[in-house]
Amino acid sequence: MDDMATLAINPRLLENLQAAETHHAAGDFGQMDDAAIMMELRTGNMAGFDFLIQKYRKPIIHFMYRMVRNQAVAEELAQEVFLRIYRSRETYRAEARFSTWLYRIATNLGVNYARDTKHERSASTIYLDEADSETGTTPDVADSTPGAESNLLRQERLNAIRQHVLDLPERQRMAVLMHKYEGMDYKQIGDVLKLSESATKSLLFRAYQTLREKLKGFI
Amino acid sequence: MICKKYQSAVLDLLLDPAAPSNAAVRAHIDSCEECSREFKSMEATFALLDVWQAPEPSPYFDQKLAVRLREEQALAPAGWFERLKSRLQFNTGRQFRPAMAGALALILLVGGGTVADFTIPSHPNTEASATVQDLQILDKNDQALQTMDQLQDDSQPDDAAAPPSS
Ligand SMILES: [Zn+2]
Repeated sequence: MDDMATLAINPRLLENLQAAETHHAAGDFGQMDDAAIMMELRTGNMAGFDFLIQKYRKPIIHFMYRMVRNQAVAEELAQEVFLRIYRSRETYRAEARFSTWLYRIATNLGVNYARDTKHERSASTIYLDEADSETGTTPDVADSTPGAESNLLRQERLNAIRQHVLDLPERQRMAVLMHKYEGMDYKQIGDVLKLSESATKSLLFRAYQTLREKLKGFI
Repeated sequence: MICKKYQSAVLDLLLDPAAPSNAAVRAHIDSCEECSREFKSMEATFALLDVWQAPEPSPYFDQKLAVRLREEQALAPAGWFERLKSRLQFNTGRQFRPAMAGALALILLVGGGTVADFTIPSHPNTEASATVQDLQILDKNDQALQTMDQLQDDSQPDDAAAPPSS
C-alpha cells in the first residue's frame, strides 16, 4: 500500500507507467532536441513525451493563464494542448519547430476560449478591483511594503495592466503575451501567428505604444 | 517626434541592450533627446508589465494530465508499432492499474467534483469515459491550425504591412 501511494503521488507518473521499454534514460532527453523526442514518441516512447511536458507545462500554463485569467481554466486548456500534441504525434513533421507548433495550438485554444466567453468576462471585470477572485491568489500583493493604500494601488495597477492587455486587438495581444511573458523572439512569434518577422515587429511596436499610452498613469 | 529610423529599433534595444547590432541605435539614443525620452518611457512600460505574475501550476496538474493521457492511450494506439507494443505490454499495464486507481482517488479527493466523471478503463478497448468523449468532440488539430488564419486584428495597417509568410 505504501508503494502504491508513492507511485500515485510521483509527478513522473508517465515514466512509471511506460518504463517497460524506454529507449533513453530520462537524463538523455536534455541533449536531444524537441523534434527528435517527438519522433521517439511516434514509436511509443512516452518517457520522452513526459520530458516535453515537464519542460513546457509551466510556460504553457502561464501563457494560458494570461489569456483566460483563470487558473483552473488555464490548466484545463494546457492539458488539452498536450493531449492534442499527443494525438497528432503521427502527423508531426520535424521541419516544424516543436515549440512553434505547441504555441500555435495553445494560441488557437486560448483565442477560441476567449471568443466563446467574451460576454461573461466583460461582466466579471467589474469585480477585478477586489483581490484576485479568479485564482484565489494575489501574486503581486504578496511583496514588499505593507499598508492598505499601497496594496490598493498595486491592485489597481495590476488590474489596469490586465485590462489593457486584454483590450488589445487579438493578434497584438497574442504577440505581447509571447514576446513579453514567454520571452520569444520576432521570428518565432511570426511563425506562430503566420506573419513575417517585420510585420510581427510592427505589430508589437504598436501594441507597446498603446500600452504605454494607456498605462502612463502608473509609470 | 522620435526619429522615424530608430522607432522600431527601440524595441530591439530594450530586449537586448548589449547586442553589437544595437550599438548604433544606442549611440543615437544617447545623443538624441527625443529618442532618449521615447526609449525611457518604453523601458518603463516594459518594466511595469512585469507586475503581472502568473500563479504556479497547481500540484495536481501532472496527475490529471497523466490520467487523461492514459485514457487517450487506451482509447486509440495510433500506429501498428504502438498497437503491437500495447498488446505486448498488456500484462504490464494491468499491474499498474491499482496505482492509477490510487492516483484517481487522490485527484477526486483533492479536486472535488470537477473530475468526478472519470471512469477507470478496465480493458484497453473499453468504452471511453465522458471526458474522452468530450475531448473527441473538439476539433481535430488540423482544423485548429487552420483557424489561426482567422486571427483578428482590427487595425488595418497589419494586413497591409504583412506579406503572407508561408
Ligand atoms: Zn532621435
